[in-house]
Amino acid sequence: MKITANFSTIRSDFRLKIDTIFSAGTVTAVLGPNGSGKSTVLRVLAGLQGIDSGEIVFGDQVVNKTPSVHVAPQERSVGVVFQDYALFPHLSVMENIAFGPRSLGLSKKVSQARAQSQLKSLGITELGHRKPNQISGGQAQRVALARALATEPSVLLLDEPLAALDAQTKESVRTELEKQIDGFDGCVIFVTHDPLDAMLLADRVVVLEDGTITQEGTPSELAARPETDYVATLMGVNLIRGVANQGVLQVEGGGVLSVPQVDLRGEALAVLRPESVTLHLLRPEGSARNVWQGSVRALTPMHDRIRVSIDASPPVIATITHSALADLKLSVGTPIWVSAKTLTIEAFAK
Amino acid sequence: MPGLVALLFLVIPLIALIVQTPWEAFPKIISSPEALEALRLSLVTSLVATALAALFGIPMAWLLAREVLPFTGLLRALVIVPLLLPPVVSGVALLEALGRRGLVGGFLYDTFGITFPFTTVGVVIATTFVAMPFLVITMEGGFRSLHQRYEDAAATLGAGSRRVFLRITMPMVAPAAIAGLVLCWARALGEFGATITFAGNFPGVTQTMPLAVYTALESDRSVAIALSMVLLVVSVGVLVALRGKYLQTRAS
Repeated sequence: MKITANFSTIRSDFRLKIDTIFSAGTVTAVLGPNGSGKSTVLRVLAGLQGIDSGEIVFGDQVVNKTPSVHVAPQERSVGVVFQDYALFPHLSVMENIAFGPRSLGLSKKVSQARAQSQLKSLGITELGHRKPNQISGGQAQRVALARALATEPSVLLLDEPLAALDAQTKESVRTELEKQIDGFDGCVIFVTHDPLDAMLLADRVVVLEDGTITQEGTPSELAARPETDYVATLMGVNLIRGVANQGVLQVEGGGVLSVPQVDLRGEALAVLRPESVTLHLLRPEGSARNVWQGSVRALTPMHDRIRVSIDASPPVIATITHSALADLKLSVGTPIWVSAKTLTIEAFAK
Repeated sequence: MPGLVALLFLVIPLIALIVQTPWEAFPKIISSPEALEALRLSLVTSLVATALAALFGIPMAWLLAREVLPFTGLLRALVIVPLLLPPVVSGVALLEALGRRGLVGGFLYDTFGITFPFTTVGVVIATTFVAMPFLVITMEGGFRSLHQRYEDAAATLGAGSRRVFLRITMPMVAPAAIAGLVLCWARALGEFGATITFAGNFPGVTQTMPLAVYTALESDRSVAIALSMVLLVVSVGVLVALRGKYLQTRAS
């Protein structure tokens, strides 16, 4: 089932404006920083919150259309996995999962059979009689998913499905979740602030910043061509803005870069990977077309490399090895020359 | 020291009541037709009042807790007013509203010949008016402390609002519901001022236990003490029922 969402909703001074299509059989990640309105998108799609203008269409059913159409959550074919799972504490795991089918009017027997098969497919049959406070976080995540799937929805919505888990559990649950949502033939939409979740689980990523969609694309498109500073930072790349003309980018805020895209004209963005940036103590004389001077602003150790932030025009981030750091004897404030081969830069129209 | 004074002040009257109770005559007094009639009337009216408070008050508590209606703050204040109002004033207010010449009562009497004052129904109305706020504010606290995500989750699982309320909301606020119902019932059982003002003091019709105690006090003091003893036992029973709430010590 395809979802066409074109709406805006206003809460006090926050405005969320969405215009996108979620295709059937696709896993979409809504990626954004805290306060970007990600969770509101899910609440609106689930029918838990109204819209102030526009419309939302599930397949051929109009579920929201201002001013008068608002299909209640229980009338929509959605399954929701809440951020903290919201398992009903007074019901057993089995009763939690059977609650949905029972609500749809199925008999107790059929509902329990459905719950049982959900438990089985998630490999947690033995948890059926436990109460939610007697299971682990990872198990609760699975139960929440099983409960959402037990109503056989055509849309599955997940709110930060992995955020409540510790790092170790996260890995295994992510793998499990990937398997589950791949086997789900409806439309899957999940919100996350973790780019890794988006990259690993989603076919398509919708980036939400401050209530508006700033970029959409496949994970590899986002990694290759981030269009906002937020996405560039998440992808760990340098994003340089400017005006391109005949292979030269006049950088916004000062500086010039030689870029390989000679046909590009007008406002453009250039991506420069930190590992493609070379640092020198003396002005380098070589094949690199781009050479400019600056000073070290910060040094951040990563597990196998050092991230060097450089104040320059344009400012850049470089990653170097520990041995390179030892040879260059860098510290904050060290004057430094930066170089980058033209061919390592990818520029594209904004 | 002032703390001990307070303790004595609260405990001595209770001890006095126990000491002064005519224990030999006690079984005879409380099994007299008048006493049994008053007890029966008290139980029936207080239980009906509690049921009415539950039926209407619990949904209202939910509306207040979820702030569904406009001016929730003002509405909450209005609900609490009967709690603070002297019960006799509540009785006068009820007369002005539901009496034969009252705002609504006049219409009901003229059109349908229905009249409430000085009837058992009047007792139920007076006690419900006074006792319901206890249930409402206790339940509102319970609903408030219940995060809305559970109700949201139930709705996305296909449950209509009725099913959500009965299967998710109510079981999750059960402790508050029990506390609220017991408090409400205890208040209803002890209701005096509003009842005597609105419903009068007719044996067998509107004379509940507290009214019987008041009446007996003027004729036979030992009867008043014995009936008071019964109400004291009920109060202690309520305390025991709510022990989780009030008898907790820091150790538990």
